[in-house]
Amino acid sequence: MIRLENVSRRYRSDEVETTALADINLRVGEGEFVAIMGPSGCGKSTLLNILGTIDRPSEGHYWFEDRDLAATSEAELAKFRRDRLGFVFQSFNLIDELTIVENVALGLAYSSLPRAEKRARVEAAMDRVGIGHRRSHHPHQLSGGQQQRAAIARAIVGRPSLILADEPTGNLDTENGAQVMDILAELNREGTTIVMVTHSPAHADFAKRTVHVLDGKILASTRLAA
Amino acid sequence: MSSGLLTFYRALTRHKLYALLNIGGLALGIAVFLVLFLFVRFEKSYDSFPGSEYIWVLEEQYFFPGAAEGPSLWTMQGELDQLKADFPDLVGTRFNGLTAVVRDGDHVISEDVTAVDANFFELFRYPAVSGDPTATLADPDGLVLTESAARKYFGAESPIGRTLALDLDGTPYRYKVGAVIRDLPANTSFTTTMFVPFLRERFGGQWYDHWGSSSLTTFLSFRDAEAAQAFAAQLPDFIERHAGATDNFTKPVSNMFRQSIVPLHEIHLFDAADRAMVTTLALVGLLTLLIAIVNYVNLATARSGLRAREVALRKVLGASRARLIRQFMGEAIATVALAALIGLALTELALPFVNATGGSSLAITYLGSGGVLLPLVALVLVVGVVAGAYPALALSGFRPAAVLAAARAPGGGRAGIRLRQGLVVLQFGVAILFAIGTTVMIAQTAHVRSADLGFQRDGLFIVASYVNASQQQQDTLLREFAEVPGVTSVTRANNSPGWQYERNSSNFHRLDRPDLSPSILSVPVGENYFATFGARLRAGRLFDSANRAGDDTAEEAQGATRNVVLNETAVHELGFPNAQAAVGALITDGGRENRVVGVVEDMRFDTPRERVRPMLYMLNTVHPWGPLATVRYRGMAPAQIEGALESVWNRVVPGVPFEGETVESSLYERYYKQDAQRANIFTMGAVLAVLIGCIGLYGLAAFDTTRRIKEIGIRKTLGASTWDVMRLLLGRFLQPVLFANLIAWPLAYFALRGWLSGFDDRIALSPLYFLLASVVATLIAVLTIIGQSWKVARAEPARALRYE
Repeated sequence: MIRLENVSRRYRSDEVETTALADINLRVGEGEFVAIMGPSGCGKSTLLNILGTIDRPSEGHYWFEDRDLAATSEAELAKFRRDRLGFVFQSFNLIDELTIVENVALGLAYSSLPRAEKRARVEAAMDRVGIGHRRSHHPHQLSGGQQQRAAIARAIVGRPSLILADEPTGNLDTENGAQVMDILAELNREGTTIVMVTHSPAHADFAKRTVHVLDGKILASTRLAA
Repeated sequence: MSSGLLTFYRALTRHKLYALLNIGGLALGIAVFLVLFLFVRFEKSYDSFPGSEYIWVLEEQYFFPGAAEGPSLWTMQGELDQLKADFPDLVGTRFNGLTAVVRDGDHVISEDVTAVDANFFELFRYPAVSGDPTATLADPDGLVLTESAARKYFGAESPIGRTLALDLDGTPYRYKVGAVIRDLPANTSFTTTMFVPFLRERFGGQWYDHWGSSSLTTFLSFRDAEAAQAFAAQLPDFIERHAGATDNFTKPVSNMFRQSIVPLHEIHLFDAADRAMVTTLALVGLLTLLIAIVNYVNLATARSGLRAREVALRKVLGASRARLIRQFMGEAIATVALAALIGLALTELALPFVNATGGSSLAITYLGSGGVLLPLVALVLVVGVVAGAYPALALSGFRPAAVLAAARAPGGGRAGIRLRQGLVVLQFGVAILFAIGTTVMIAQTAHVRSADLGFQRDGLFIVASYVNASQQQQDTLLREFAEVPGVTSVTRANNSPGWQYERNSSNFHRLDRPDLSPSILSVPVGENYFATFGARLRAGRLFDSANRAGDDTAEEAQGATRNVVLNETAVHELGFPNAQAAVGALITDGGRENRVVGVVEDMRFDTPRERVRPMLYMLNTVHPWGPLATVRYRGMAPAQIEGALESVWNRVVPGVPFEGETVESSLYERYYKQDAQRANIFTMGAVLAVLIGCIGLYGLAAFDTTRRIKEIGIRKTLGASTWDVMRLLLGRFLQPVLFANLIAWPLAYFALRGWLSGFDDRIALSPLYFLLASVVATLIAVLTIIGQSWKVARAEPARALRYE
């Protein structure tokens, strides 16, 4: 499904150049659950952003189902994200001014589905993660766990084939973290490919494979026994 | 430097854009307000001098079909004599402008000379530089000069006791200078440079005691308004006693003719349209200032979130709310003071340009009566407190724990957003109101300059000094003007566009309809009158040589029927169904009969503000009373024809200065210039109001897009394209701008309908003006925010998500 070939990402500020990713090669198969681990600043989030097409590689190719996304236009990438991807962030990234139902609906705001279909999908996504009863609340009125479940509802409302999760349990307590991981594992069992950045070895255990990153390079890739 | 002052300084320098928008916008608003304040004060200061509060002007108005609309300040020459006979204690004086030529050696110069009663300077206490003006006017040959006139004719030498040769209304006199007064200020309605005593035997014409005639201005003096009102109450009886004793009016006279008095200082804005315009400009000034204040509040509240952490930290460190309110209020007042200083500098820089464009002579005085410094300090305090109150209260009210714990600075929530959008609606509503007003005013001023006036206005030159030539010279001039290369036609008459000598009106009626008797202005015309002006015949015929015996007043038999040409308004007011029906009809004013031989389209020689009066044209080729010659020319520049006519003039009438102007210039100077200048001032105010509105919108957009960068990152991550984000941002900012149109349109409609009703010749209040102004205002708003929106919409989502 995903193939990164010699992908590098460098940032330039004034006269300083920082290499976030260096010559990365990575494959992710359809239906896989991959955990990316590594210390802070190693390039995990950059790798996830490139997979999510919200950042572009400085060099190399990003193949998604035989399509080179590194050479695709901005408008095409927006459509790709809209149709194929779901994002879950550590800091939830819900919009304060919108209610929970509006935040979830944002996942379909740019799709061309009929309105009734959108409404039905939003309701289904909220029910699935158990936050339907907080639909009219604003994000700041919810606990961290509830906010992250709302963010997951927003990520799955478009029925993506790939979910990218950037430390989804990083801001949550153990119980809420476990609930979020259960939801992600269930989504994976239903066929959704998941790539997750995490610091937690316990949560990495939910994945079928763990990729270790250090100083912008993939150090090792370990596959858990079935 | 205290920490408060230091923080203020750093807040200004750190957020340079906001500081620029805040201070620049307010400075601009204050500058616009100051300029318009000076303009309005100047307009309202006319004829205010020590003692002017005791002077009233006699005004009169006629009420019958065809009479001029509204009151007039011209009265009968001898009315003051009759008033004094009936009211022995009454004090009054007269002001009679004269056609005057000064002969100074070989030079012959036209001057503004005025004949006034000997007590004129007792009422008009203009300061004397030398001599005694009142004593001078007691001498029948005494002359009072203004300083500049004295300098012009006598240089640095003392003019007292020297003589000047003056031709007044064609008669030569020698006057002796007895006093010099300061030049009359620019804000004077009755301007002149020389004063001579008003003597009936010199300047009292055949109409001196004829009720219904009017040729000078009569001033009356009262100790207070109560005394003036008591006198005014007796005027109707006085009119009935005197005017009613003549055959000039049907009785009671008050049905046709009334007089009243009006305070001198109200004369300049006598016309309701003028008053409305000055009031509008005052409103433009106030509203522009209001917009600037609104901007300040808007930006300050929007920015409040940026300083929330500083406020929270100060509270944690023990600052009380009162102290914080003082700090932010102090900052607001300091900002406004800075803006006021810049505004003052901008005003000083702008005044020469404003004076050139608006035809004014405005200047700032800082101290003393009329000084702007104290009002400006008051303005700074009031605006500072008003503008600073909300941010001060809002900022100091933040709860420190919540602010410090929040990942994002508070921005006032939905209520804050609604407030800021409401303020944008208000300022754009005002800006669009001005934009529509400006569009309509420009369209109207352009219309009056290009409208079909019923005659061909280009290629016409008026020789105004024609009146100063003798009868024989006038005949020669007409012949010689006609031979000038490029001249196609020449005529003489007692009117020309912008000019009308002797408005003799009589009540005419048809022999078959004595019930309709409108007042019709009689215009004696010379040969080629209609051809020269390019008048359009509607029915019948014009005067021609084949019918000279009946057409020409000079050749007709005593008491015979006279042939006349009417304009369409006269035809209408005489009750004819159409122009053709009037041809051949007989009309009379009680004297001789007149046969209508032709009807011409109305020719508007007068102001576009008033309707065209009904007119009756009569031909007189032998003894024409035609003080104006008008020349039609082709293929020459105005300066060329002027030069050619002047050279003829100097040959035929040596020693009398040539005066003339094109019809375009005559109409512009008399009827269009003031409106055009006021439209210019209004336009400047409106452009700046829109600019200030845009500054506010820009600031708000800059703040809001910055605050929403992360949200935009989220939306893009979720699949929003750059265009989706642009639509979102533009829609968000344009929503209040579009809503502002809904508020501005009805207000503009009612205001402009009122303004246009002051013009008889006016444009229709088309919705296109509204659409055009709104589209332009909206486009400007889009241009204002599109750059920022584009920049933010194009940002890479990953970078936007990292933004805090």
